[in-house]
Amino acid sequence: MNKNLLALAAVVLLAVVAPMVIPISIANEIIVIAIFAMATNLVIGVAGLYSFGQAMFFGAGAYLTGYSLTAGGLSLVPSILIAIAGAAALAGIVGAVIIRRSGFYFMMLTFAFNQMAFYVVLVWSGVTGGEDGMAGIKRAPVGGLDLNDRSVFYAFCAVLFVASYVILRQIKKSPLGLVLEAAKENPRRMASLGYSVHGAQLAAFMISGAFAGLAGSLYVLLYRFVPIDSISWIMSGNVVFMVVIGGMSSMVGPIMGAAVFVWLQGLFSLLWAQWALLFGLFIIFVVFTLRGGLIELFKRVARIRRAGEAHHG
Amino acid sequence: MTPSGFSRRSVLQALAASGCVAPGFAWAQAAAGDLNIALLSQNSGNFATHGEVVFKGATIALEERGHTILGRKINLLRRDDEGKPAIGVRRLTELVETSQVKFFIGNASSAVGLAESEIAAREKIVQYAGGGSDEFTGARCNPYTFQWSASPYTASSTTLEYVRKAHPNAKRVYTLTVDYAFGHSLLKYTREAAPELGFELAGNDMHPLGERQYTQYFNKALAVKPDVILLLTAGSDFLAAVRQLSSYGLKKVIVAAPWAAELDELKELTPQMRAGLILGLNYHSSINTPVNKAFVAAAAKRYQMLPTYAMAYAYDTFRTIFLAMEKAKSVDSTAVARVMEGMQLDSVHGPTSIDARTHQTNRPYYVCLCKQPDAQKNDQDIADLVFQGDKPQPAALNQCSRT
Amino acid sequence: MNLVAAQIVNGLAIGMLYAVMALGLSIIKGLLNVPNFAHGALFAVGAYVCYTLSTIGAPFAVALIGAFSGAALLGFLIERFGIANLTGGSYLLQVLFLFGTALVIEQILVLIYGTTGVSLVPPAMLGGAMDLGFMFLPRYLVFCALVGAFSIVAVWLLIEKTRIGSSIRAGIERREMVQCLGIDIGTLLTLGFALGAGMAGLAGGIALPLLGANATSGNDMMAIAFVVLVLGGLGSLYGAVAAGILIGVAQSLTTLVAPSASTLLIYVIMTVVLLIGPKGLFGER
Repeated sequence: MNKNLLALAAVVLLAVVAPMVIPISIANEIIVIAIFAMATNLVIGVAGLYSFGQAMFFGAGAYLTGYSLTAGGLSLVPSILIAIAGAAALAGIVGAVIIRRSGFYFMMLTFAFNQMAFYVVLVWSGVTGGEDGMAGIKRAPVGGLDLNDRSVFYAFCAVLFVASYVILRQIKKSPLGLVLEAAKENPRRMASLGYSVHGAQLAAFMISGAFAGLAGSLYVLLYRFVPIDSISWIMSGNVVFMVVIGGMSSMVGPIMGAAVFVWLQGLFSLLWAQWALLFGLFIIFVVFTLRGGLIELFKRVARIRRAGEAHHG
Repeated sequence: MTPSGFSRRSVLQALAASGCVAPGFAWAQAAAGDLNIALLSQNSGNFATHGEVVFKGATIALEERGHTILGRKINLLRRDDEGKPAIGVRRLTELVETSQVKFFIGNASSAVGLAESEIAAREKIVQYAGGGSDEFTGARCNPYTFQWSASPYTASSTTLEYVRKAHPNAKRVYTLTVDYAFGHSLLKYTREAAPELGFELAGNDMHPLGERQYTQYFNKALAVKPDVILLLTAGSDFLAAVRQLSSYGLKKVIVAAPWAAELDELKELTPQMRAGLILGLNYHSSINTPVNKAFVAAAAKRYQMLPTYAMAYAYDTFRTIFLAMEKAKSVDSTAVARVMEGMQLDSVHGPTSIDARTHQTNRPYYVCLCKQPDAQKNDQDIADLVFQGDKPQPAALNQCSRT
Repeated sequence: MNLVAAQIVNGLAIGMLYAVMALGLSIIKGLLNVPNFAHGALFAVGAYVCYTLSTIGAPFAVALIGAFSGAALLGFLIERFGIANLTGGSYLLQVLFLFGTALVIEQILVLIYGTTGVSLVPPAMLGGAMDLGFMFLPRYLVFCALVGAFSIVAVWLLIEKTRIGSSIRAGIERREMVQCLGIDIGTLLTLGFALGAGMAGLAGGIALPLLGANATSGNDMMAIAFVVLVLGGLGSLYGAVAAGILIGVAQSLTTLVAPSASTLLIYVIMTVVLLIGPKGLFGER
C-alpha cells in the first residue's frame, strides 16, 4: 500500500479517535499544538535551521487574532487570515535580517528576537493586556456553524490540522524541500549549483511562521483567551523538544511529539508534584533508546514485521 | 489522597483524566448527587509550597463539615496550574468538561486567576480568587468571580499609615516598582495615599519583572537619601531585592513593602536579612477573632503548623462558599453567587461583607514587623502583627462596569 | 557624574559574575560544540553545595571550592555517561539530553531542599558597605569581582601554562591537531566539560549571598550567559570575559536612563553586534 496514503489515514484516524478517548479540550489542544510542531519541523528538521524563537510567530498569530476579534471587531475567518499573514510577515522581516547567520548564531538570534517580542507584549499592556493576557474573545459563527459547540469547534480545527499536515508534507517533498535538505548537508555545493539557498531558507522560515500563526490563532479560539505564555521563549523551547522527541524525519513525528508532550505532562502532573522529574527521565530515555524520536518506534515495529513476513515467506 | 507521592486514588484519577479508563466508570466516585469542587494552584516550580498549603487550608474547611454539604458528599479535585495562565486555563477547561466542577479557588498569581475568570464567567462557575490584581473587582469583574484579597488600595494606604504612626519624622519615600500591571496599580495607589499622610515621593524606579540584580537601583535610590524605601514588587523579585539591600548594612533607612510576599516565602531570607522589614499582609495567624482562633487551633491539631495567608485563603473562601450554599439551600452556582452578593458573615477577619457589585470582600489589611533574629522563638515565628486598616478603594477609582 | 561612576563600579562586579558563568559555557561550547543547557542547573548545584557546606560550619572559601568541585563532578558524570554516548547523532539530541538532565537535577534539588529557596549571609568581614565618598559599595560586591577575576586568571593559567590546558586550547581551536598530538580526545572532552561545569558551580556559589538560590534560579543566569557567549564570539575563549563585563556595565548604566529596558537591552546589544559583525566581538568562527 502507498506509504503516503497510509500516513494520511493514520493522521485522519488520530484526529477522529482522539476526542473519544481523552477529554475533547485536551484532544483539541493536541491537534492545535501539532500544527505548531509540524510548522517548526519545517525549519528545524527539513531546513536544519535551529530556530528557538518559534513562539514569536505562534504568539503573533495569537495576539493578532485576539485583537482582531475584540478591538478590531472582525469576524472569525478574517481574524485567522490576519494572524497567518501577520505571522508570516513577521517571519519574513526577522528572517530577512538573520537568515544569513548560521548554526548557533542563528539559534541565539531567534531567541533574542523572541525575548524582545515578549517584552514588547509585556510592556504594551494597553493593547495586549500585558502579564494578565488578552480577554473577552468570542467565537463568532462561521457560515452557520456554531463554533461554541465543543464538537463543532473540534471538527473545525481537525480539518485545518489535516490540511496543514497535507500541505506541509507536500512542501517537504517539493523542490523547495529537496533544496533545503540538500543545503542542510552541503550549503556551498547547493549555492554553487545555482540554487538560492538563503532564498529557499527564507521561504521555509516564512511558511513555518504562517502555520505557527495559524496554530496560535486556533489556540486563542480554543481557550478564548491569549495568555502571555503563548509568546514566551519557554513555548519556543517546548515546541523544539516536541519535534525532537517525536522525530524529525517525517511530519508524523512532530504530531506524536505534540501529543506526548501535552498529554504526558498532564498525566504526570496528576500523579506527583515532582512530575518534572519523571518528564526529564522520560526525555533522557527517549534520547538514548529512540534516537530518531518516537516515530522510530513505529519504524522498528514495521521492520520487525517485515523481517517476520520475509522469514515466513 | 496523600499530598505528594503516589496513591491508588490519584493514579485512578490520573488515568481517568487522561482517558486510559473508559469515561463511564472513571468518575464512579462522583456518584449522582456528589459535589465536585476544585483547587487549582501551583504544585510545581518555585512557589510549589503554595499548592501544598492551600490544599491543607481547603482540607480543614472540608473536614469541618465532614465532607458533606446539604446532604451531598463533597469531592475536592486538585490540579497543578504550574503558575502559568495557559496551564490554568487548560486544567480548568478539562475539569469543567470531565467533572462538572462549578466552584473553584486556588490561584495565587493574579495572571492565572484572571485567565481562569474568563472561563468562570462563560461557564457560570463560582471563582473565589486570591491574587493581588485590582482587575478582579475592576475592569474584569463578572457575575461569578469573587475576590478574597484586599484591594491594593487598602494595602498601600494601610502600610503607609503604619509607617506614619511608627516613624512620625519619616518624610522622603523612594519607591521601586515592578514594571507590569500589578506594580503600576500599587504605585498609582501609593501616589494617592502618600501625600495625604505627609510623605514626599522622592523618586521612583521601574524594574523589569524577573530582575535579579538590584544593587544598581539601590545605588540610585540611596543617592537621594530617602527615609523610606518602599518596595512595590512581589515574589522572588522582592526577595532578591531585600537580600541585596541587606548587603548595604543600612541602619537608618526604613524598608516597607505593602504587598510583597507571604510569611512562608520570607523563610527564603535569613532572619538578619528580614529583620525590621515592614510588610503588608492579607492575613496573620494572630488575628483576634473567634473564627480565626478556631481555625488556628484546627491547623495546629491537623498539621502542627501556624496558618499563613495561603492556608487561610483556602479555608476562608471554601468556608464562605459553603455558608452561601446553606443560605441558598442549593449548590447551583448561579443561586450561590447571588447569595454571596452583599452577604454578611463572620469570617477569619471578624464581621465581613462581600460587595454586591464588585464582589470585593470587605475586610481589613494587616501590617507586620519582621522580628530581630534573637527575638524569634521558632522558624514560624517570623513577624508580629502590629497594625491593621480597612480603608476601602474609593469608588471613583473602581472600573467595574457591572450594575 | 558620581552616580555614573557608582553604576560602573557596580556593573564591573556583576559583569565578573557573568564572565565566570560564560567562560564555562565557552569552554564547553568550544570543545564539544554543544550549548550546555544544563548550565543553569549546575549553577544551582554550586549554590546549594556552597549553602550546605556553609551551614555545617565550613569557611566560605572551602564552600566555594566545594561549589566548584560538586558541579565539576556532576559535569564529569554528565559527559562521560551522557554526551559521550550521543556523538554522531543529531546535535539536537545532545541538546535534548541536557535539557532532560537539567530537569532531573532541578527536581532532585527540590526533593532534597524543598521548594522554598535559601539565602546565605556572607561572612562578617564581607558584610556591610564601604563609603567611597560618592557611593556606598557593598563589600560583598567587591569580593564578588575579586573572586571572579581570580578564578578567570586561574583558568587562564591552567589553559596557557599547563600541558592539559594547551590540549584543551588546541581542542577548541584546531580539533584535528589534537589527534596528531596523540592525546585521548575522549578524556579531553570529559575534563573540558567538567571544568566548564565547575565554573557554573563556582558562579552559583559566589552569587549565593547576592541572589540566594532555588532549584531553577540558574536559568536566568544561563540566558544571560548564552548572550554573553555569542556576544564575545564563539571560539574565542576570552571574548566571553570581556563581553560579560561589558554586559554588566551596560545593564547597570541603563538603570540611570531607562531601568525597565535593562533586561531587553542585552538582547538588543547582542542582535546589533551580530548583525554588524556576524562573529560577535572577538569570534573566530
